[in-house]
Amino acid sequence: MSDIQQYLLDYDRSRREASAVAENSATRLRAGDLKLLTLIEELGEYFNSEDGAIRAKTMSYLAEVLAFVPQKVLSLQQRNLLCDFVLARLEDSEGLGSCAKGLIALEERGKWDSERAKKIVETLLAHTHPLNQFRQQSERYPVLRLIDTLMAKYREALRSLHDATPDFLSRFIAYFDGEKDPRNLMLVFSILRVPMTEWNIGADAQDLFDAVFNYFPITFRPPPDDPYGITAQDLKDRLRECISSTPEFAPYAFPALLDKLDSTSMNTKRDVLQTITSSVMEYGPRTVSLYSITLWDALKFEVLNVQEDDLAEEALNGLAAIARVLSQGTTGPLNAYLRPIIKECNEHLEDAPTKQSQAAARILHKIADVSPEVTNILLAGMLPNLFLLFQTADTIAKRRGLLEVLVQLIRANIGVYGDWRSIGTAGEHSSNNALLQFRDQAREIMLNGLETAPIKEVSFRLVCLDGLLQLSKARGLLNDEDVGKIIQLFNAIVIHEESYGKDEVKEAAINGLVEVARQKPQVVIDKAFPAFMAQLPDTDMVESRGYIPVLEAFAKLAGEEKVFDTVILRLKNKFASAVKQNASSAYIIALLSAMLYALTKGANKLEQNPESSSYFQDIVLPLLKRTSSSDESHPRAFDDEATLDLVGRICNIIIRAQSAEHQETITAELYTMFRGTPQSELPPFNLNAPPETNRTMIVSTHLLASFRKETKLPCELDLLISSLANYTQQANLSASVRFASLRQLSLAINKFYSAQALKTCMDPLVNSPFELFVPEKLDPPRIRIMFACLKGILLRSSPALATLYPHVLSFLSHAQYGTTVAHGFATLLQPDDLLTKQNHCQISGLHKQKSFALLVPNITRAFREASPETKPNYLIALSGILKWMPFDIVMEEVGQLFLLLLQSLDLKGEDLVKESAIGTLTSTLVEKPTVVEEHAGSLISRLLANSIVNKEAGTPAKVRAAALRCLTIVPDKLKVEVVLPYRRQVCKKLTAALDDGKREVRYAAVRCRAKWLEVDEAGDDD
Amino acid sequence: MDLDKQNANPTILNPSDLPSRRRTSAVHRRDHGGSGLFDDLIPQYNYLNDPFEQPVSSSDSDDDAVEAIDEQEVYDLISSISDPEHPLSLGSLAVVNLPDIHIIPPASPYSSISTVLVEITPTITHCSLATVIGLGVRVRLEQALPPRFRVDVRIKKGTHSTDEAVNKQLGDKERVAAALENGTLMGVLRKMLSTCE
Amino acid sequence: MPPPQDAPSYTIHPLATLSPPSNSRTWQTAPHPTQPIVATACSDRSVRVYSLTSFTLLHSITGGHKRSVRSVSWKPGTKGQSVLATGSFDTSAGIWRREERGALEDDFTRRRREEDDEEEEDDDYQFACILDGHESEIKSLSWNPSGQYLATCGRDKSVWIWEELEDDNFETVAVLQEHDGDVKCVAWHPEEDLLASASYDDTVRLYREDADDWVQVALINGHDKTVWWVEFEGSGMSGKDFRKQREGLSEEQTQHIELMERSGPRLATCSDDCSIRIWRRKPKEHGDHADSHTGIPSIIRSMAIDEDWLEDAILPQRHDRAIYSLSWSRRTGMIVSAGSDGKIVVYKERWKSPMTNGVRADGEAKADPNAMEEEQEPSLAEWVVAAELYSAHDVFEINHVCWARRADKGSRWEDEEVIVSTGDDGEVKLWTLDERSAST
Repeated sequence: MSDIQQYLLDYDRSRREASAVAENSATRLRAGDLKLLTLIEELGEYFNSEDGAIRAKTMSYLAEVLAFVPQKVLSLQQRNLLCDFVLARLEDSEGLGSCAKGLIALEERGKWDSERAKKIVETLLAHTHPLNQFRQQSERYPVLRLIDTLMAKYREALRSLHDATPDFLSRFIAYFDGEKDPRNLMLVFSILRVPMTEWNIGADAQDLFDAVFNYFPITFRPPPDDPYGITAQDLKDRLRECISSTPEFAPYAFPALLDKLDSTSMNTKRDVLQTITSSVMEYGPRTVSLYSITLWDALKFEVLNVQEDDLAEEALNGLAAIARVLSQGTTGPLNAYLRPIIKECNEHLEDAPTKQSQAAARILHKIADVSPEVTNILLAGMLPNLFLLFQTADTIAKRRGLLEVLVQLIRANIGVYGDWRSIGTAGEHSSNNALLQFRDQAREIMLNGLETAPIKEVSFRLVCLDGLLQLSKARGLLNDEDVGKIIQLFNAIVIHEESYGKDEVKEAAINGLVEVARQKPQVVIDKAFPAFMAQLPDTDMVESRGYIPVLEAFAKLAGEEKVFDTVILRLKNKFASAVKQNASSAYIIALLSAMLYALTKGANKLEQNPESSSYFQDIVLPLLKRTSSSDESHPRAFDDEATLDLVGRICNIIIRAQSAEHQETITAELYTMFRGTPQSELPPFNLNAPPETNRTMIVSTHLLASFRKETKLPCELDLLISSLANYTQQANLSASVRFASLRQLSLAINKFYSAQALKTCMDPLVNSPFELFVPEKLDPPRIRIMFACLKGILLRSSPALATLYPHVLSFLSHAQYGTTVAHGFATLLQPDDLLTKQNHCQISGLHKQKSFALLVPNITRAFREASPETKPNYLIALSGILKWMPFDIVMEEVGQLFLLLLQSLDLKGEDLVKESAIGTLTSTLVEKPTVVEEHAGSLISRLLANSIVNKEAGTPAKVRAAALRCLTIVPDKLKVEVVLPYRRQVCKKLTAALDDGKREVRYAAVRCRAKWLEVDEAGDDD
Repeated sequence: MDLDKQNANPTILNPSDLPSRRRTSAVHRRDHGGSGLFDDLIPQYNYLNDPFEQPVSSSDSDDDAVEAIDEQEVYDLISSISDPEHPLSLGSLAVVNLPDIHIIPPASPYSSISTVLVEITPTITHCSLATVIGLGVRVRLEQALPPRFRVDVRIKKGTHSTDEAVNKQLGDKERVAAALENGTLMGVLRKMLSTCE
Repeated sequence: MPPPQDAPSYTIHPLATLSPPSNSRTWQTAPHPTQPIVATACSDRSVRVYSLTSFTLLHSITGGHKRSVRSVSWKPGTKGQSVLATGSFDTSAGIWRREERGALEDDFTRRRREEDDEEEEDDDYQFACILDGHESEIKSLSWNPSGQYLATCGRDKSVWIWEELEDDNFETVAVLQEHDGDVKCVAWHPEEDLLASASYDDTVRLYREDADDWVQVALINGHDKTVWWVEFEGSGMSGKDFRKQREGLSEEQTQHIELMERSGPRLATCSDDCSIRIWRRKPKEHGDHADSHTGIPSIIRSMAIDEDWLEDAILPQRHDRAIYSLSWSRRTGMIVSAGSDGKIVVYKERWKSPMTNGVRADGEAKADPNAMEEEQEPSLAEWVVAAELYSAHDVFEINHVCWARRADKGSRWEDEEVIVSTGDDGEVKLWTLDERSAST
């Protein structure tokens, strides 16, 4: 039987097999086994069938065959013949879709001449108009694709068709009437966009506009499993492109859009505003000038009475767009547009500070930003009146309101004309900046305001300060002298003004200085630094500590690269002379603190050129010598451990950036510190060294931290480890010295052992005589050593942990020291500011997972078997670990841990434990509420119990607050039906917490109770 | 309520000018007037809690030092309520002001009941929303203050055309209770209180 | 804790807190006229019925109202069943019935039902019917002594009188709209069909039927703030309270008693203005006062049925915030009051002793000047504070107090009374009143 018969048979059974048949015919055509003519003839009888379905299928067959036929198989006239044949079929209402497919296939197999293209469109319009008469989306879709292709590839042809035939366009537009399907609409929009943008549409403009605007606003919501993935946004974008495609739409578009702007739906409004903006951009100056004022009158309302802030933003974009477009044209229209704006804004200035004066500021800022022309016109239009009002204003509040507007204009001006560091959008011609003629007046009133206004007028002074800052930033506006004046005023505020309220003004003044320093470093150095230095005594005979705020401010300046070096230099000199005059420890410490702060601020600068900088010579060496010295060059302050810690950190931050070679110059002095005394006589190697030498261990800790791991230590590593181990056990050590030495253990182990050696690094301590892990010998000093070593090891997730952890875990059941050990676990993962990458420590990315895996399951298991009196130890250890564990690691296990966590809330006196337990519970609620659901009751009651003061438990405020904060999120995270039963009870119990002695707790209680009171509205109302 | 507002263009105070707790405590915040910039140069936890020194309580050496509920705290509770017709806080609209908040101690040594008196100043004298605002303030305080406080909310004398009537309503416990069971009104109140921190 | 002032002669002792308490505010508690139970109106939309013998919850009546239940009232004189009326913020009033086992015993026809009752331990209050009419929250309701009428009132400023024609068939016999503010409370005269209502408009109004048409017959203007509660004195109290001791009374004292008896039961009101006032009806000149069931057309009579209520006394002021409720003991004539300040105060009336007379007189004069001009002859009796208790419900407000017959084993004498207080803390508490030992 013939292929077509086969095809018709298979068609209803299986489209795939049917297609196979068509493909087969195609191959035979190619091979020449089948003549095109025969094929057509075979189709003949079916095309003439009474049954429309048969005719449709036949056409579908032909279309498929054509789609399968490879390029170049069909000759030009064969294609033309087929094309005419298919076109003829268009008179038949059946199989339209397939016809279109066929034509598309043919087109793909050879470009048509323009006559043919026209003919096809004509025929379609002639026989299938309106397209919507075909109910099947699948019928219409190919037609639209076909037309879309024609529009894309045969622009000229169709254009000429339009020019030649008067009524063509109107028929063409009407052809697509009533299309509803999103996929088809996407095509219709892009088809119609061609005439819109390229044809001379004249009289048809309105029809064309209506044809698309009918769909505005798009409210289409794609089905959840939409195969074509067409979103409402896609449609919106295409539609917007259409509307904004030609100025000829303006007469219809703007009225229609503004009309829709009254809609109550925020989405519609948003849509309208965005469309207006893009239309304005596309329509060009001439057209926009006709509507600018109408648009202003409509859009301003969205800003003056804000409903949704983002709508106001959109409206502002629209207003700015108009200004931008108009400033491309002649000045006339631009002025015409800005005049009413200026008028309106001036009116709102009258009753500043109000909602609308703020809105005015917003509008001006947004518009003034677009071009020099606009900025200048607005400045000229606003400022004279603004200054006038300012002089006559009766309240400071009003003056504040006015200045807020002024500052916005200056900011915009900077946007256009740029600041000292960067050129603005206007490019390099600040000469015509209109701000120049208002500069002095603006500077005057703000300087004056900031200087003379009562100190309690915070907001007013803040505005003045901000304004002055902006002025001094504006490119080419003020000369250095004027900037200098401003700087001095800021300085005065920082240094001399008494503290008030939240010190917002002081704060702002300091930050202001930093910002100016970025713009005008030299001026700041010249004007500000002397004043600062003058405030810093060489020695502080006077017992005031007024120098602290000065130092703070000064140190902050170091944040600005351009002045960093100078800041450090001045601080260093101050320090030197202060020491020479043997100033008080307090002052020395303050200076060191400032220096350290400055250095941390400029750390990145240090890293850039560690060697070249002279800081090592100028700062580190002198400090180290002073530390170890015992003669009169040794400042009293250096006997204080806090001071030494600062010293250590200063050295550390300078040294650690340096290369290994460079570091080698002091590694040898790690413990001797240029004393000239042999190392063996000093700590940690000599346990009987003079007490004052113990202190320097604090500094050496920071040095050790700064060394690269390639550097050579002043002694054998194993010797160092065991010496430190013995050293730290001495009873007479101060807390900080002991802590420092323990950290040396961690550092040494972490940095200097090879991966191989690390496995056995603890052996010297574990084996006799030391026998670290022998239960009988257990005591706090040894426990400390254990954890110090482990801390160094675990960061490298060494396999050694697998053997080491079990020992430590076993001690949790230790009768005497179990609890102490338990608390040790909190230290393991606790972040440590010395064990860091910057300090060249070896930190494996997965070390937390590793420790979690090795510790937590064992603890939970052991907990079950543990005796009642040791059970708490496991809970303590667990929370100590979880405390520092990222939740995503805990997540998997949290199901098993949850009950243990709950139980740790019942522990007595273990506040830190409770705190971290609550922490984990909180994250569980947030990340994995399902786990909590079944335990909701016991969680809620325990949290309540911990959030209310009760004498015997003596839960501290911090825990109470934490519990409350956790309880606050419960209603959000659990299902209403789970929470509702507890609501009344919780709200009632919480009234006790509302009366807590601590404000922090009350604050938490208030929020918590508010949340729970809301639960009601959810479900209880029936 | 969005359309034709009763006062479309209220005067707005700047947040920096609103009374805040630190303002009062700031003066003796640091003896030397520094901002504590250098305080955390040396991380605290290292020295603070060596977990082996038992027991380490978290922060609570001063837990017995009671911070009593004062006017400022009441102010903080209500100043963040937002106005029913503007996305602005009652504080920034100067509807609630610190000087108009009074805490009255128990009338007798045998009673533990204090009274909080709040006088509100509507943005305009004929604002019919005054009652709603007052109600919002009262509800907020009843939810946020311990029950030993009685809450009296009044319109400040002479700032409102019908202040007496409004005061009487706000003072009527039964009416307030009923209002809170009224869904639509509650909706408005919830919106107002949603900005409370 | 004992107050400092001239030591009261009684002390108030906690007897019990009915348990379990409600988790949210409770408004009012009504003792059953005959049985040892009370019903409590709760803001959680339920009514809780507690036992006064075991102090425990017997029934929780839920599902009837959509908002706070504000007020409850037991229908007096029902046989074999209890009938409870509930008034709610949802603007409706509900009628609930429950068969009583005790009553069932002698009723064989009902044996089957009785057995069911044995099975399901909790034979519940059945919803009988709903009274719709008020436009807004109902704030109080009350049955008249005969159980024929039910009065309701609410925020819609109206007072409704319903008559129960037969079971669950109620007819509105009057809608009285005299007040220009919420009507907070309604109360019936113990002997006559005379209804009193107190209101947010600071007034108290009295109504009676005049030719089957209910009309206002008196207006009491004395308080200058919302009047929260109104209650009549018990019937024939002169035979029970301080007046029953007749020997050795002075001539004028005896006259005073007669005057009072002619006036009939007095009226007590309490208010937001922190005062409690007693009102006495001015006796009609010609013998017995208005009997509304005379045939004479109301146009002429209407004047005659108007009544004058004079201020009889102002109780010593002990509350410093709104007084929400008071109750007048039907046994001892003492008055108990409570309110926003969380205090419970008990007052008793006594003869002025000539010595204290002067003191008291100007004491009262200070308390209330216009009392004098209304009162022609200064009263011979005076009210004094008998007992005073601070923080009865911890720091919470007390919404209602009343007297109830004591029913637990500890009861010390025939018809001993307990004070029942209902608070914002959701608790209903019982208190005993004990005479101080003569030592003080």
